[in-house]
Amino acid sequence: MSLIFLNGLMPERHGQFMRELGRVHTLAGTRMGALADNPDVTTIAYYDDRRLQAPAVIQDLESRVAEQTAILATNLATDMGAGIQSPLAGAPLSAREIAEVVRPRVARVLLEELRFRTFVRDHPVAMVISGSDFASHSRVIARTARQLGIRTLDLEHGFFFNRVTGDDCRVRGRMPLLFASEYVVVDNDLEKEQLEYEQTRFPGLDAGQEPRFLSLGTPVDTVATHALPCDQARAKLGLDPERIQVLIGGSWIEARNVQMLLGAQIDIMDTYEDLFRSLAAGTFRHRLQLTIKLHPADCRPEVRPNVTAALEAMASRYGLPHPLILADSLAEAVSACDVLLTMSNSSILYDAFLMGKPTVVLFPRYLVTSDREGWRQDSTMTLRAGVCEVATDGADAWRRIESWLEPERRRQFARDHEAFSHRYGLWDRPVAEKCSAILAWIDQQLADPQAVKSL
Amino acid sequence: MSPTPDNHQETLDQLRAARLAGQLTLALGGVSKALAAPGVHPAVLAEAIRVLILAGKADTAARLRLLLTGAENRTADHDLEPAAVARLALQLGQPELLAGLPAVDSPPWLVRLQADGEDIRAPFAIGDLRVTVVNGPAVYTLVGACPWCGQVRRFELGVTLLVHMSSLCLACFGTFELTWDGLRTFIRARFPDLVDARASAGDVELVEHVRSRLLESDEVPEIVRMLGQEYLFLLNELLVRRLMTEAAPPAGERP
Repeated sequence: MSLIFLNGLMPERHGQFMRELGRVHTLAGTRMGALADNPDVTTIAYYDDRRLQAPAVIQDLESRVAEQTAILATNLATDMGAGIQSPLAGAPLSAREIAEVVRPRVARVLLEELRFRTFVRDHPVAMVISGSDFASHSRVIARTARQLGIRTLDLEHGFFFNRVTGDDCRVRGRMPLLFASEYVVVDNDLEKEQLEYEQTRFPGLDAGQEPRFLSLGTPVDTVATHALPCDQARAKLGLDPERIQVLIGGSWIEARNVQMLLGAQIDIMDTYEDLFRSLAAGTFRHRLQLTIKLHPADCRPEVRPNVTAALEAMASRYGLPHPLILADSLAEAVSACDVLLTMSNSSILYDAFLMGKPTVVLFPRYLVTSDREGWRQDSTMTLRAGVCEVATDGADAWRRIESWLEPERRRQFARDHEAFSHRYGLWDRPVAEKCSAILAWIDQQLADPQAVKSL
Repeated sequence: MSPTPDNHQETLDQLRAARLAGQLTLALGGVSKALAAPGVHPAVLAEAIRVLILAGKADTAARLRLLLTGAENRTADHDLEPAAVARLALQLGQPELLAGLPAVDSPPWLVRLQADGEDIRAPFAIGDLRVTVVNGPAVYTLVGACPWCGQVRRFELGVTLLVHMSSLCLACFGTFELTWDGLRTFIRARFPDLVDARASAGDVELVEHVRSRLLESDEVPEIVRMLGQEYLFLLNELLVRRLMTEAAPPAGERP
C-alpha cells in the first residue's frame, strides 16, 4: 500500500476512480470530499494554513514572494510590449499593478508549493495524480512533485476530441498545452494521436521532460449513456416527441488572450443573435424545438438567472418561443437531441459522438483564427472524417442541421461514424473498465524503481 | 447595528449606507436586529421599509408601513417618500395606493407612472467597465448610474456578459435594465480596439512572442514555469487593464 496524492481531482467527477484507488492505497489530496469519511478508504489529511504558521516559515515565504514578484513583474513588463500596438503596453508595471495582480498570484503559487513540500517531508508520497495539470489549480503541485522525483500522472477528460492538429492554427497564435506531469491519461487513441503530434510540432517547456500520453481511458462518467433511450429522455425533459430536437451546448470563455476578455463576449452575443435571427427567417423553426444546455460556469447561482433571461429575451426579440434552458440534465439533453450545435470544440461533442448524434460547430469570430479557406476542415480529424461539420454563419448552421436529418445523410453518417470509431477506439467504455486499466498501470509503475524521472 | 432608541441615528446611518451601497444582505441583517429591539424609532422603521422594498419583501414592508403610520412619535420627516410608497404599491399590485401621492419633487419614473400608468424600465447608464481574471474566467465590474436619478451603482458580473437583469434604484426606486445589448453597444463604442480584428492580430503576435520565449529560451524563471498558461492569462489581464484605462474618457465624463 503506497501513499497517493490526489491533486485537483474532483470527487463529483472522479469519485469512482478515487474510491477504487482508495481501496488499495492510502490517499491524501486537495479535494477529498466525502472520501475522507469513507470507512473503506485510508486517508491522511492534507495540511491547512495552520501548519505553515511558524514565524520563520512565514518570514521566509514573504521574502520569497517579494523576490519572485520582482522577477515575474520584470518578465511581464518585457513580454507585454510584444504584439499589442499601444504605448501603454510596454511600460513598466506600476506599484498598483504589482500589488493587485502580480503579487497575489505569486503568493498563491509559493504558498501551495510550500504546503506540498512540507507535507511530503512528513509523508512519503509515492505518486501524485492530477486533474488537468496545465491549469493553475493543480499545476504547482504537479510540477513540485516532479522536481522532488515523485511519480506524476495527469488525468484528462475527453476534451480533445475535436482538436485541430498542430499543423495549422496551432502554429500561429496559439499556445500548446503545457502539461506538467510525466504521464497524461487521455480517453482514446484519437486524443493520444493529436497530442503526440502537437508535441512533435512544439518543444516542451522543459526540454527532454515532455509528457507521455496513455490512452487508458478517462475515468469519469461520460455524459453519453445508451441506458437512457431518446424517447424516455424527451419525456423526462417535457420535449415534444413530434419535433426535431436541436441542442445547443454552451461554452465559456477563458482569458487565453486579450480578445477573449472583451471581444469574445461580444462575439458570443453576435453568434447567438445570428442563430436566432436566421432561424426566425426560415420555415425550419416550425419543425424544431430548441434546447440550450448552459456551460457549468454559467450555472453558478449568481450567473444563471441573468444568462437564462438574456437568451429568452433574445429569442423573444426575433419572435421565437423561449428555448428550454437547462443547467443540468446533460445526459437527457444529449440523448433527446437529433443534432448538437456547439460554439467551440467543446467536450460535449465527444458525448454526442458516442451517442451517435451528428454535430455542427459554429465558431464565433474570436475562434476563427485563419483566413485560409478550408483550413479548419483540413486540420480537424472529425471534420475530415465527416462526423462533424463546421458552419460559416447562423443560416449555414441551420442548413447543415436540417441536412443531417435527410435519410441518405444519416446513413452516410452511420457509416462514417462506424469507421471513425473503429479507427480510434472511440467506444463508450464503462468507468470501471477504465479505472482497472489505470490501477494496473499504477501498480506497475510503483513496482518499478527506475520509473521516476525528475526535472 | 445596535438598535436602542437612544442611538437610532447610528442604526439609521448604517442601514442607509448599506442600502445605498447595494449591500442588501447586510442591510437586511441590520433590519432584523433593529426590529428585534423595543421601541423602534420611526426613522429606522422607514429605512427598514426601504430596504425590504429593494429586497423584494413587499408583504413585510407593507406590515411595517402600517406600524409606521400608527407610530406615536412619528413626524412628517419620518414618512416614506412618494417614490418608495409607489414602488411598494406596484409590488403589492395595489395601484390604488398611488392615488394622492404628490407629483412635486418625484423622480421622473414616478411622474411618468402617474401620467400614463406605465412603469418604464430605462436602460442602465453604463459609465465604466473593468476586468479582472480569477483562475481563468473574467469578472466584469460595471459602474454606472440610475437613468432616473443618477445614483451611482456598481455591478459585478462573473464569467459572461450575456445578461439580462432588471434592478431597482437604491435611491429613487425606479426600475432600470442591464442587458447584453446595452453592454455590447457600450463596449463597441468605448473599447473598439479591443473587440475588432486589431485585437486579434495583436493577440497572435503576443502569443507567438510568449510561446517562443517560454518554449525556446533557457532563461525562463521558475515562477513563470510554475504558472504555465496562467502566465499568459496574467499578461492578458494586465494588458486589458491598461488598454481599457487608455480608452476611458476623462474622469469628469463618468457618472
